[in-house]
Amino acid sequence: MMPERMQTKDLRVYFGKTEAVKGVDMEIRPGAVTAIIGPSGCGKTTFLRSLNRMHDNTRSARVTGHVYLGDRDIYNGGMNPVELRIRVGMVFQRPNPFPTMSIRENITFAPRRHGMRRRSDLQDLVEEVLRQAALWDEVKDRLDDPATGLSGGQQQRLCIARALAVRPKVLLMDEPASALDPTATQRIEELIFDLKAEYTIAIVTHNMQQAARVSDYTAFFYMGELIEFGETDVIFTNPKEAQTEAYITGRFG
Amino acid sequence: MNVGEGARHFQHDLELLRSQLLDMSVLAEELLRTAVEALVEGDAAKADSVILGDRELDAAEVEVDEAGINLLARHQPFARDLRLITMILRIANDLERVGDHAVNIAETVHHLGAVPAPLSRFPQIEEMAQIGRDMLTQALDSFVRGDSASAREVCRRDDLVDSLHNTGFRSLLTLMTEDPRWVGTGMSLILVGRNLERVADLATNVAEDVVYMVEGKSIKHGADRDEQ
Repeated sequence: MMPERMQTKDLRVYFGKTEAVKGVDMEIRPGAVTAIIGPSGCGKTTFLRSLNRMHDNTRSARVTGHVYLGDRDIYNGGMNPVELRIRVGMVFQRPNPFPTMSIRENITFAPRRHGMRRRSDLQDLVEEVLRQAALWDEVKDRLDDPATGLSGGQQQRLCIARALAVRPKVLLMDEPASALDPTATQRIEELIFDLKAEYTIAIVTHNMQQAARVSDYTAFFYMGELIEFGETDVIFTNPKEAQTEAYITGRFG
Repeated sequence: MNVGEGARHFQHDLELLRSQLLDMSVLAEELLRTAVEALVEGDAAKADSVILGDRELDAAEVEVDEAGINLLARHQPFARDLRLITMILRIANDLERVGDHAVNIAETVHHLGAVPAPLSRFPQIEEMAQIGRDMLTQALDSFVRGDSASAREVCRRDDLVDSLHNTGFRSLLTLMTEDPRWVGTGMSLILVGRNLERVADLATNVAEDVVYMVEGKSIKHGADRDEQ
């Protein structure tokens, strides 16, 4: 399974008259982790959500420009949202397993909707993605228990497993560890490291140490603009832009 | 975007670390100067003061190490702060070794029987000592001012010290071959020359670290020359 590249061209997101993302050209490279950092309100989450057309149902929101998945524009009629969300999975800040479903059902829900019916196929899938999400050993004996009985960290890994169940090419993560304790955070970070060979991953985080630990590339956003994009090693040791330097050294304000 | 000073307590601790390093540099320069004076004057007491003073420098290095590592652990700094702290740790190590070379030179005073060293046989020694001290001073000055151009000048001066060292070394070798009575004294002078040559190398290391600290670019092992 080959990860796919995402790319934005002059991407702009408006909420009413406010321009929250201002003409961003950026590449999210395949088989790598791209961290998106910046202060609150800089547009990083708005940018991430636009990669999955999550503003479609927000009445005041308007998106212009292009977002390519591979060579197809996910806006402008290039791809319908259902197909898009099979290819681009999303993990949110707070773990959000389907509350009325078991661990197993959380994973099989979407694949069933997309036509997977055979019990053995579904069983194999459950094991495969729970193993990928490093959760299998902890839950294999209680797959039919309610997902809400899991710890926060386990729930978040279940959400990652659920996202993987439709075999996406890209994983978008919006502060996936900010509600977790350090041990659970470490497990998520290890998981991101393990997954990056097979998936294209973009992660929004407020935690700069986390961005430095998990990512290969880092994008710094400020006031809706992409200020600097580069290899994480360079951004955190010798950034080119004064604004990036000020932000990551805490001289911002 | 307004650029502030950053977390006050971090900046305070960082300033403290810088001043600890500067104290070390004053001490290292002083030890080197005293060691060469002791050699020129054949002054055993001065030589002993170098050996004692080096312990102080060793202790100061340990303190800088601890303070630097604590800052890294507690603040996990990035970019220029990260470069500054890691380079301070490296420079502290280089200064400690300058102290060791000063001690080696001071010990030679005893080997020579605490009489003024016959420097006419290795006249380059005093010049090497002068240039080495100047290089060290300029390297540290570049550190304080964050001046990478000045640090690059220091690196260029190292070639001169190497060439003085080679010239002196060869003439002493000739002397010892022709007249074996010079072997003992000649060896002592060669060791002094070798230690001074190393001091200039260490000053060059400090200067290279200053360039990295300022520009985020390594110029070690001639990386800079390759580009030009």
